[in-house]
Amino acid sequence: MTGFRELVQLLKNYSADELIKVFDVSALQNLQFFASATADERNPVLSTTVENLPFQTLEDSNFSKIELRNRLWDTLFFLDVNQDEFEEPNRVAYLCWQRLAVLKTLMGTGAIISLREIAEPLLQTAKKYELTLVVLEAAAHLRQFCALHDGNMESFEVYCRLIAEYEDILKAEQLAEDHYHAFWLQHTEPHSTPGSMAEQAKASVLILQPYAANCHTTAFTLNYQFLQLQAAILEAKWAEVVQICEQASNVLAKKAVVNRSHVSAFLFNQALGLANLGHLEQASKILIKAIAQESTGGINWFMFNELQLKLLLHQGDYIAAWRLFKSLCNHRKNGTWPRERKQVYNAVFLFLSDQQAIHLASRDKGLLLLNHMPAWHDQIPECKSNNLEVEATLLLLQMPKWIRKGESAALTESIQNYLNNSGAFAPHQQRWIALMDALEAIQDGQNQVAALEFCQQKLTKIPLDYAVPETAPEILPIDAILKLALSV
Amino acid sequence: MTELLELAKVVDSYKLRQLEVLTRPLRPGVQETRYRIMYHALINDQVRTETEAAHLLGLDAKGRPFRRFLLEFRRRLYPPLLFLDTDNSPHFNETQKANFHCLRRMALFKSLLYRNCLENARVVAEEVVELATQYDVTLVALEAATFLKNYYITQYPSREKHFYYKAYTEQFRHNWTAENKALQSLQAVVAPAVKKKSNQSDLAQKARELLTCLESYVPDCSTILFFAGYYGVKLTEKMSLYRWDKAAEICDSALSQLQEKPCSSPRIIGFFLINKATCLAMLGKYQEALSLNLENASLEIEGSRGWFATLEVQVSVALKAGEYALALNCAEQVFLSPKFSLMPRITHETWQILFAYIVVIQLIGKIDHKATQSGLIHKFKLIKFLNNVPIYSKDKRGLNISILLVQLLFLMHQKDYASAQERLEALRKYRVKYFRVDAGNYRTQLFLKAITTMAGSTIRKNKFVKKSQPYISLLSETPIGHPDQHYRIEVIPYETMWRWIIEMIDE
Repeated sequence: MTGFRELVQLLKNYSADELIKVFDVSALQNLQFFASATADERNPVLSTTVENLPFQTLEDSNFSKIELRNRLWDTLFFLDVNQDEFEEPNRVAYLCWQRLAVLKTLMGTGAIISLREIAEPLLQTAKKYELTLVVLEAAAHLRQFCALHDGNMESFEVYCRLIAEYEDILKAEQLAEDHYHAFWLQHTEPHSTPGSMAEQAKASVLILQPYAANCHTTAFTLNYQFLQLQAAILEAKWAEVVQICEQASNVLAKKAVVNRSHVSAFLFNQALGLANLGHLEQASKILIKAIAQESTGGINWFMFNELQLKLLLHQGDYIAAWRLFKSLCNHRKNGTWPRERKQVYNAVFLFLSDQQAIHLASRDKGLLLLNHMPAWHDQIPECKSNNLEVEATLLLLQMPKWIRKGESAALTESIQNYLNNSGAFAPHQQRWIALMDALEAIQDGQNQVAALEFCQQKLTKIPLDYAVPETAPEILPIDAILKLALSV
Repeated sequence: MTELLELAKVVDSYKLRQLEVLTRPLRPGVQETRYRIMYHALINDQVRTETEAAHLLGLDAKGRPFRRFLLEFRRRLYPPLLFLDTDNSPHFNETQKANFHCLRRMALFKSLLYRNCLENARVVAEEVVELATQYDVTLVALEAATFLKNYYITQYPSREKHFYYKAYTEQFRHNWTAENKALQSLQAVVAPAVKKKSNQSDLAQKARELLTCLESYVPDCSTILFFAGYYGVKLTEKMSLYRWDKAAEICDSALSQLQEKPCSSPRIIGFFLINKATCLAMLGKYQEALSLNLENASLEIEGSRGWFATLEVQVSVALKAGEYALALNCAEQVFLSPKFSLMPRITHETWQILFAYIVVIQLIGKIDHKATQSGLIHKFKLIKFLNNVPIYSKDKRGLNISILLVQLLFLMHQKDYASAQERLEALRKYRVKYFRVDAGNYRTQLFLKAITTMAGSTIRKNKFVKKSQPYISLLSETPIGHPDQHYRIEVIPYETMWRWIIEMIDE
């Protein structure tokens, strides 16, 4: 019990309880009130909520916002980390850092017995979870302990070797991170082009390559593979993208402990690569794996499911897509899914239903109509949105109707506006230009059916690129929309 | 507002029962948890052993439930440790307080990251990075700056801020590496001397090699920890060559560099002060050494490692200076300190040796009886002492000499001349076996030669004085700080010890 006695004496000597100001039960109830009142950020009373908080019922009458924040911060230390649903690596990383802070505090107060009791398990856990800096710090403390406390040269040498090994790992990790940041910075440069970015990514990969042979930590691998992946994506080398993602997923899968969101990110990109190679079915299968790795109901989970919806729609499997859409709408955490994204898919299914491409029960159709965006019947597109992508999707969905009405010129103008405003790259505008050519031909008096059929033929030769934002509005591909329009 | 919202949502999503602060007082009439009961039992000293602890909870001390309880109890003790009230303690200076604050903030920052409260994490990181930089808390500064560098790319892109924190990060990375190298180098030259105080000239060579590597960091790194390691290695180089004057100069350089900084570490300053006091003592400046060390002792936290080290030097110097009452007083403080039992085995052995000399001094009447009220001296047993110093007994060219000499003093005092003769014969062989003429420890060799003149014949005072006098004359011509011997070996100046031995021999 020596170690416990040491810790308890330390807490007693420096009267820790005087400083700990977590919320007591009644205060926490007020806090719950506060949190629920402000849970929805669109709540109009948000700005006045803090002023109206019943602070007088808290422990201190002069309870300021800073004090509120400090108490909330203090409270975080005392929440039970075993009860929540966060991923194991994150939870362990947090606990390890907290232990390290405790370890250094003990060092500062001269509590030597407890120091070793914490440092050894901390080192083992940090090694297992690849927390390089924590490994180095814990090992440095143990090294010091062996050297100055025990005079144990054998253990001292062991820790020295361990530290040297992890210093190399840290160096590689930091270098990879620096290159990753440099790549992102290049991304925000006004004059950067996909070509220049690809060159930069490749140059970084070359620099990091010598380290890759010896450094296999997740932190290094992620940045290194990410740069490789970006180079391949920017050069549209989709087979390479698939290969890199497979390789990265395999490396991560071999880890004793892995952050599932990292695995899912590579699986997602693998699906994108496969989709761009035209293997939509395979892409769908990989995407199912990616979705399984994500925490259900999270932002990424919905984003991945959206791509799945898109792939199903592009395969023409409207029934499966509809089932998936319904399950997403009914999901208990569907609040995470942005309302506008949900509505745009709603519009797609309404369109499919109108075009008789899918037969929905009247109840389902009624729900789609209820959730439909507000309309302006004399405008193109009928439904306005602040989101360019959403507006472009809606524009495509209403295209058959407005062509029939003889509004090809207005449609062309709207498409041109979208392309101008979205800052689309010229190489990725081909599909839109093909559509505009057809609309202009109709405007010039050419037969509608012939013009649209010609456009369809052109589009089959311009495959969709799922990795670029220009194709995001094509939740239903333009050619599929034209096909449906022609069939009517 | 965003920060508060972020936090409120996190805290709100956990049930009340998950919050437990062990250190709060027990509430009458409330059924408390086992953890709180155990905490308060330990505080009130109601529980000292695992058996007692298990008994308190009605569990079997060897059973799994009790082991699980201990694991969980330890886990729950950690969060309150981040709330130590260091601000109101006289034991810590501003730098140390800032250090504790930074560590607590780092734990909070990681906690916020884990809970995905990025806005709060940014607020904490921006606050702590400045403080950590000011007070050289490199690890915390590095972590905060690295996060901010990432944040201003991935969360809220800002080239200006990204580059601002990137520059910080690079400096901190460099500092962190330099500190680690410096401390490792210091430990590499100090560790071999923990258990052995014999000739350490090889350490000087090692120190010189390490210094060559450390020199490259000097222009760009000026943190407290780096200075500690760098000057520590320099000091060890001179100390292991027994160049006390040069070593004292290095202590002065280190102290002046550390004092130039806006932040300071009493522990590191204390390290150089202790060593300077040792150097002064070896240069014969006992009073200067004692007053310097006394000043340092007042800065140390009672029961800390530094406090024990300061008192150890104080006793060593006091014994050399003939300030025996002071030595006894310091030793009593140490042995009566509840923290002494937590000190390493090697510290215990050092104190056992020093205390054995104090006991001899008391026995021969050099300490006033009024000064020996604690009764510690009367509990001393020679056999027990010899069994309690297994590590230094193996340090044949080092502290084993001090052990053998104090043993001889005891035997001589007890007039057990037969056993003393045996010891003297053994010492003669010991000297031949372990000390070559050119192998250093000149004063020790002379003294051993002087006292072993008694070996093999009846011990007579006049004969002993006559035979040993030439060696003692040579000894007197050689100062105590003669650069070939560790400062701990000669606990009492040999000239003094020789006089005591003469006094102990019957006419």
